Amino acid sequence: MIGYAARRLIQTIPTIFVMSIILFGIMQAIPGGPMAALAFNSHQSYAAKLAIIHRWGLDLPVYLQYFRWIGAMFTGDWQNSFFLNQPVNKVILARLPATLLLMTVGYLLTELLAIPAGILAALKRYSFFDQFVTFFAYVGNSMPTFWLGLMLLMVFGVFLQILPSSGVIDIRVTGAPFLTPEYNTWFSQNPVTGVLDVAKHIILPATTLAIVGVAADSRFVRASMLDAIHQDFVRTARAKGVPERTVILKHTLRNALLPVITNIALELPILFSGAVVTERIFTWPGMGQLFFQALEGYDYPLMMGILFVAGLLVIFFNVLADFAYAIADPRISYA
Amino acid sequence: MHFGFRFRALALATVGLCLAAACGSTGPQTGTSLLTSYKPVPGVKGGQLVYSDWEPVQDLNVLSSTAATTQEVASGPLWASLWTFDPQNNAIPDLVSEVPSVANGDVKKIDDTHMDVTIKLKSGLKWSDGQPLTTKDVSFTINAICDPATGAASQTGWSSIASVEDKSDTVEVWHFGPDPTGKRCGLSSPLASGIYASFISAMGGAGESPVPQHVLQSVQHADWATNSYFTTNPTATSGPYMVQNFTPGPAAQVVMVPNPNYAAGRTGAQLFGHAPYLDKLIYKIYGDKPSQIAGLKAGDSDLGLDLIAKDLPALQGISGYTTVAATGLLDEFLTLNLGNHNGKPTIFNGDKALRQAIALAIDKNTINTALVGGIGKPMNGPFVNALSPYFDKDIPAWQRDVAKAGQLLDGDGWVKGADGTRSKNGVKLAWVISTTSGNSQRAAEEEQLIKNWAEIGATVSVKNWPAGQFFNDYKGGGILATGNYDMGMYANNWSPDPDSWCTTVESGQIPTDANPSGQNWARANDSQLDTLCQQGAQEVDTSKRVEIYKKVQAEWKDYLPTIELYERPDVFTHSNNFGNFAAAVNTCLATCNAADWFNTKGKS
Repeated sequence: MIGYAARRLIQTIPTIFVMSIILFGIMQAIPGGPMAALAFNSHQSYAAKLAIIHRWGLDLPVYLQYFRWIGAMFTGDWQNSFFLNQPVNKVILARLPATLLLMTVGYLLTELLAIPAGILAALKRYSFFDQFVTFFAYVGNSMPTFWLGLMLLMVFGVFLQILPSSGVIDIRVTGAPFLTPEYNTWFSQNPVTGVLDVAKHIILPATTLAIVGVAADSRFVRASMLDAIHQDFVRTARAKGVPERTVILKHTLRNALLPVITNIALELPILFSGAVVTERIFTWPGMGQLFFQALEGYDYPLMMGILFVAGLLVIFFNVLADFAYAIADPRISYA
Repeated sequence: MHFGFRFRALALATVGLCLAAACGSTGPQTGTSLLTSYKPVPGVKGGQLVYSDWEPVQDLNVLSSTAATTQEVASGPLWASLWTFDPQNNAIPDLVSEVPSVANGDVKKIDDTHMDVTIKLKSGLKWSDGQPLTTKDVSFTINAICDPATGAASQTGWSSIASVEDKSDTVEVWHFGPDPTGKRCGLSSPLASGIYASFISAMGGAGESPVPQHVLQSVQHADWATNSYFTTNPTATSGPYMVQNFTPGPAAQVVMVPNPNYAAGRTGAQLFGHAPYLDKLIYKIYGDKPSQIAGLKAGDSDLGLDLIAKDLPALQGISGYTTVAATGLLDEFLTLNLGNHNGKPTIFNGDKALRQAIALAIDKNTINTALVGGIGKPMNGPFVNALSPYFDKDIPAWQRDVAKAGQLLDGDGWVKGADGTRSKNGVKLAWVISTTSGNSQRAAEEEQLIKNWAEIGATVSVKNWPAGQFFNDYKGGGILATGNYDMGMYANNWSPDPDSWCTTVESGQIPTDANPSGQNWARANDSQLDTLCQQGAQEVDTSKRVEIYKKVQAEWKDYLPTIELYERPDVFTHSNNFGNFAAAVNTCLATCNAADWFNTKGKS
């Protein structure tokens, strides 16, 4: 197992480099560029524009830009965002808490609903509940996230006005943006109001994520459960007279959840990268919003920083999923 | 289409919301009366207001940022400028005690190539940290603007200053003069004359506020853009407010508290002579338009900026709010490539009759009604109405005349073919119109125009481009800059001086390898326009400039390097308890009078 782990980790190194080259190449291939932000300003001298281009490092040959960037990533100096003019790692770290908050709530909501729903749907196959879950899954999978988010926003935020339409806090109440020192001070003095304020704001975006997530994951859990429930060991357990509850919870579920664990591990990177569309619709100040903004403005260091982090997380959690599977399933040998 | 960094429209509030008790100029500016109809009402102390936009705020760099959203918070609320502008485009003093002019003796033309402008700051001004605001800060800022390493958004005009003389803490003289070296302040070629008549609109206003020498003198200019003073925490501001908190990005929020030293030196001033009224001013970015509108409907913000005609239906009927629409310095127009495209002269090149026929065939009223909700203003000439006093009210009104267009084309040798398309000497009357892709309103405008031109026998097709590519610079292969188009359609937010118009048609401004920053994307080459524009740029007497630019408008309308469609309206929605809101027609972006804003409910 240790040998396997070591081999697996070593394999990630060339994967990371290939990923970085592909990412960088795609950035360079996108038509347009950050210079467009300078182009339409007739009042700025060409010398000043050149100075900005030099500051951005865009006057270097492409291959030098790549080496400069990859070197910066591994030494911890992630360069400055072209337009925010702040270190990329600082910008990402500032946005991470909001994304983690939203995605964790959305993810927990998804799994707390999807797993039981999928299990029950499998156990009560072809029942009304199963039909309902299936129907919900088809509808949920068919709905674009942006449409669902906008509909929820319009109904609850605009027409009924019972939930906030944007942001993570009500700045009129808190007097300071989320997680700033002033906000933290205010929160420590008003914890209940603070929690309720955030909870109110998180309902709509988390629900948007959960609906789409439950639609997908419940089907997956159902299929996995159905697969496990028809295995020979389940029949044997029943034949031995094991109570049905134990058959389901101890024997069937444990095996059915193996692929689900892998799925969960593979979905974990999203907790950090955020949901671009949902965050945009609800103006949630997270990583998804940040990425969208970087994309619009061709903010290469910021785009690359976010994508590189997301890529690293995918690679890391893939490896983690492999390890988790090996630990969870004693039948697997990695000699 | 917003590609993230553009100057946006500024608008004139309609009468219902205008603060002016009386409109119109009342005479030349003197030491005791101002040439302005801006008359704010006394405000109520206390309370807070939230104003909103939807495009991201990247930083608070008042000197370098071209983003309108940054200027909405930097210019007016955080940094005061030497002078600002009222809704009628009259310059009004902010940090200065009087706006320099020929009339008050602060502008002196020395000879044909030299002029002096005397800047008189109010006495006793202070930064928010208590340090005095003096001419040293002004000259320090000029020095920084002129260093390309700073990356300031505009060197226009500053490059005409040969030297700055600080006579005292409150009096400074800008000595304008030529530069035979061509190296001064980002210049790319020698400057024959230092006369710069547009200095009031181009220099010292919003976006060019003095910055504190005592904070920034130890910071290299190349590091200003990344310094925390401009990115997160401006520790010394000169405007009515200072930053308590700033979170950048598409969900940006700027929380501002009153500048305790704003009123220092301002007591007795006719305008902006008091401490700010609000306890807190919050600038909130929604990330996208639907969220901003939803926020207004939910009462989340008191003022919505950066809204357009298309948003009007969604903004109607918001209880407790008023929506106004007005035009300003933003117009939508067509640029005709009068040079070469794909190595060959375009059909517009050298054919004035064709250009005039094309203009006559356009149905501007339908475009205005159908696509801009009727709140735009079809344009009669190249200048917008808000460009007073230079806008020529007597210019003949635009009129659609398909028959006359047909006659012009017949006389010019464009013969209609069997397929309905005209041709001349084997060349079809066909061209490609280009604009920014992904913009449904522009796409609809193109369709309307194509329909109009089909009536005169022209076949027009469409090729649109991503905004980044369309507007990219000459070196970056920008479509307009490199002339890789036949006809372009876009909007521009002009500075409130006609010289900014002229730079787009002067033959010396055609982008080339030697002059990549040239702005004459139409490749216009008319000697009369060149002569008149140069005369206008060199004339410091406003009344004489007005006459010169009337001639510019007439010649422009005849030569037609561009065809103006309509003045693009801006829309504002504000709560009924938002006191002293007034949109400006210049680069102030409706926030220049933030010092006068108040919440009618006060501390609630």
